Amino acid sequence: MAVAGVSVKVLSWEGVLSVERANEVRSELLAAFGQASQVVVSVSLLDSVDLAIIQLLVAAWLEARKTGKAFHLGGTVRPEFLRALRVSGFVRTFSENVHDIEAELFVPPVKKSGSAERW
Amino acid sequence: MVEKFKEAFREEAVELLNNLESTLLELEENPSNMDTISSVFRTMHTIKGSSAMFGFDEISHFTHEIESIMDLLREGAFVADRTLIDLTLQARDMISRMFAETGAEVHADAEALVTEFKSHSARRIAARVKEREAASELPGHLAVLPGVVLSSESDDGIAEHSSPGSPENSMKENFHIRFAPGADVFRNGTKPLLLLDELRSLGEISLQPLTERIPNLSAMDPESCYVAWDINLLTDKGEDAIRDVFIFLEDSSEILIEKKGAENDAEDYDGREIKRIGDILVERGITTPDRIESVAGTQKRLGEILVSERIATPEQVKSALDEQNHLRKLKESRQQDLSTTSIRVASEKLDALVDLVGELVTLQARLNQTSSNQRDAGLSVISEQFERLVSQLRDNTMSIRMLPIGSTFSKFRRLLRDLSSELGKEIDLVTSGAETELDKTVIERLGDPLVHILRNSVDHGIELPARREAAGKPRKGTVTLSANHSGAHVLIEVSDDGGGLDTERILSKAIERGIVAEGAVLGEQELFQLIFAPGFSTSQTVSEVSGRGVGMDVVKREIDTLGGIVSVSSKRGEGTTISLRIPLTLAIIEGLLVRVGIESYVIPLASVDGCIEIQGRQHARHVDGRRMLDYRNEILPYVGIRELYDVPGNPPDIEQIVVVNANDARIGFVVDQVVGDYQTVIKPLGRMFKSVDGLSGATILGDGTVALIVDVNRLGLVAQQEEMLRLKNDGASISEAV
Repeated sequence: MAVAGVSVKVLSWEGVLSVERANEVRSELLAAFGQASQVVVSVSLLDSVDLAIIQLLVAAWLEARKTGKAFHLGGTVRPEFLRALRVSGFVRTFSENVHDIEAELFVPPVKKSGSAERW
Repeated sequence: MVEKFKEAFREEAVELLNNLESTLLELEENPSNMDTISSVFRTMHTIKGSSAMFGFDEISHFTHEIESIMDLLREGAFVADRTLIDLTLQARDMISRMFAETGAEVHADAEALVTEFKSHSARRIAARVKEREAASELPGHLAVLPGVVLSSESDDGIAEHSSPGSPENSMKENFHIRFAPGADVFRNGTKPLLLLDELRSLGEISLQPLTERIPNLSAMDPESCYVAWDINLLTDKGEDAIRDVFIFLEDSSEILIEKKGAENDAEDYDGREIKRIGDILVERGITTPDRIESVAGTQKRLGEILVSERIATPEQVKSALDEQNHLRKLKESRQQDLSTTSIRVASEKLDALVDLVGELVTLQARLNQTSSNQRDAGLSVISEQFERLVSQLRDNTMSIRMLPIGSTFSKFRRLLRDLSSELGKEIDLVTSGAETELDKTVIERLGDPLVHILRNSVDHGIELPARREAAGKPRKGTVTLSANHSGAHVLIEVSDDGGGLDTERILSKAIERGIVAEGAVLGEQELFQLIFAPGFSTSQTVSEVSGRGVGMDVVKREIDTLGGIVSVSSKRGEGTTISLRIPLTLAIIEGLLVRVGIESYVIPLASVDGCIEIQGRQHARHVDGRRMLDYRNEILPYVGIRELYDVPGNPPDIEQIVVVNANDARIGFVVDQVVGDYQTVIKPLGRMFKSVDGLSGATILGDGTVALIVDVNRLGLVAQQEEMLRLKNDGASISEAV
C-alpha cells in the first residue's frame, strides 16, 4: 500500500513463534523494512512468543528509529502473548490494546531520560 | 477489653473448627494430599497460638499435642487412616467443648484422647517402618523417620519429636536479583521466561528488563540473548529457593542474589520515607554519596541529573526506580492490608440495620404518596431520588446478609459420615451449588430441616451395601445435596439413590394411623405428601437416627414458616428427591398491593402470574360447583378474598383476579382493586393474628395503614379447604332438600 510517499508493509504473525523461527522472522522483518517506510506486525493470530521474539520486536523498533522508519504492532493481542510480555517484565499493562503495549514495549533506555516526571 | 478480644477469638475459632471438619473429611478421601495435611496442621497451629495468647492454656496444650502428630503426618512418618481421622474429628469436637466448658472432667477426657492419639499414631508409624524395612528401603532401626524417635515399645507413644522450622514461622524477605542470561542461553534450550515465571511463583515480584544490549535488527543475532533483568522479589521461601530456580544456569549466566531486608522490618518503611533513589545507587556502588551531594543542589530531578552527568546510565536509574517503586508498593500494600481487611460485625447489629432500612423503605413509601398527592414537582424529584437511594441501600444491606449455603453443606458431610458408619452403610455425599447465597436468617433456619431430610435419606433411603449389591446397584450409595437460584427463590434438593418411597406401605401406615380413611384412593403426590403428616413413620424399628416420625412434619412446618414449598419425587428402587423451594430473604419482598373493601393486602410479586378483570363474574362457569374461568387456555379455579376473610361491604361491579402460583398450581384470588407494585418490609403479625391462616405478616403502608401479607401457598390450601367444606354443605343441603 502506498499513500503520498508513505508505504506500509503489514506482516501477519501466526501461531506460536519462538527462537527456532527467529532467523526467519528477522529476515522477514528486514525485507519489510527494505520495501516500506512503515512496518506493521499484525498480532491478532499470534498465540504466543518467547523471549527471542520479544527481543526481535524491540530490535525492529530500534531499527526503525535508526533508519527513520516506523514500526508498529497491529490487531488484537491474544492473552498468551500478553502474558509472555508481562512475565518478561517488558510490559505491565493488562490492556490488550496494541497501543498500550507499544507504549511500554518500545521504550529504549536512552529515550527514557525524557520521561523525567517519573524520576 | 480483653473479654472483647477473647470473644472475637472464640468466633474465629468456631470458624476455624468448621473449616477443619471439612478439611479432615477431604483428607479422609485423599490421605496423602500434602495441601490438605498442611491445612490441618496450620489450623491446629493457629488455634494453639491464639488460644495461648488469650489465656486458654488447656486448649493450647491440647492442640499442641494434636499439632505434633499432624506434623508427623506432614513429614510422611505415616499415612492418615480412618481411625486417625476419627480421632482428629473427636479432637476438633474436644476443642469446641473446651471453649464451652472447663473442669476436671473435660481435662480428663482431653488427656485420654491425647493418649489414644499418641498410641494410634505410634502404631501407624511402627507399621510404616516395618513396611519400609520389608521393602529394604531403609536400614533396620526405628529412628529412621525425620524428627521421630521411637522407643522399641512403641505402644507407649512417641518418645520425642522435634519439628524442623515450619513455614509458619518464616517471614518474608526482600531480595534484589540481577539475572543476566548468557548469550547462548537459547541455544542451550533454556527458556528464560519459564524461569521468570517460576520466580514469580515464589512471591511478590517486580522486574525491570535491561535492554541496553539489544542491538538494531540488522546487527542482531536473533538466536542470542541480549536481555538482563533487575528483579525485586519478596518471598518467604528463602535464598536457596531462588538459587534453585537458576540452578542450571549458574555457570553460563550472571546471577546475583542479594538480601535487602525482611518484610517485617516494617518500622523501616513505616517510620520514615522509602529509600531515596540516591541511597539505592550508592548502595549498589554505582556512585558515591559525595557525587550525589554535589548534584543535589540543582533543580532537576535526581535521576535526570545522574544521567546527564553520565554517573549512571538511564537503565541503571530506571532499575533503581523500579526498586523504589517496589518498596513503595510494598508499603502501600501493607497500609492497604491494614485498612481493607474484612471486619467482623455482630449479627444483632446487622439485624438492627435491616430493621432501620425497613423503616426507611416504609417512610419512603409515605413520602412517595405525599408527593404524588401534593403534585409538587420539586417534592417529586426529591422523592424519586430518595427512592433510588433507598432501593440501593436496601439492596446493599440485604447483600451483606447474604451468605453462601456452603457453610451449612460442609456440616452435613460430617453428619453423613457419622451416620453411615453408625448404620453400617457406605455413602458418598455429593454437593453442588455451595456458593448459592441466601439470607443469613433463612440459612440458619434451614439447618434443622435439612438435617432431618438427610437423616431420612441415610436411614430409610440408602440400603445396606449387601442389599444394594443384590439389587445390582453400586455398593456405595450417593446422597446429593444441591442448591441453585430459581428467580426470587433458591431450590435446594436432597436426592438419594436408595430404595425410593414405598407407596403401599405409606398408605397402609396412614390408614393404620387414621390419617387417611380406609379405601381412600390417593394419587402418587398425595401419597408422598403423607410422609409430612405429624407422627408418620413407616420405619419398622425406631433407630437412633430417625424413625420416630418427628422429622418430616417438622421439615414441612419449618419450610412453610419460611414461605417455602416442599415437594417429593420418588421412584421405587431408584431413589427419592426432596426439593425445598425457599425465598431468598425474609425481610423485604416485592409485592402487589391490592384492596378488598377497606382492607389492603400484599401478594408477593414472585408468586403473581397475572391479573385479569371480571365483570359481575358473568364469565365464570361452575365445574362441579367450583368457580372456574378460562385463563390462557387453562381452567383457573378462583376464590374471593372477601369471602375467605369475611371482609364487610359489597364487591364493586368490576373486580380483579390476581392469578398466583400456589403449591405448583395456578389459582385466582378475587380482589376489588389492584393498586400496583409495592416494596414491602415484612413485620411479624401480632399474637391476635397468629392463628389466622394464609397470612405471613403485615406491613405499614405510606398512609400509615396496615396491609396484610398473603402467604400464597397457605391461602391456596385454605381456599381449597373452604371450597371442599362449602361443596360438602351444599351437597348436604341438596340431599336434605331432595
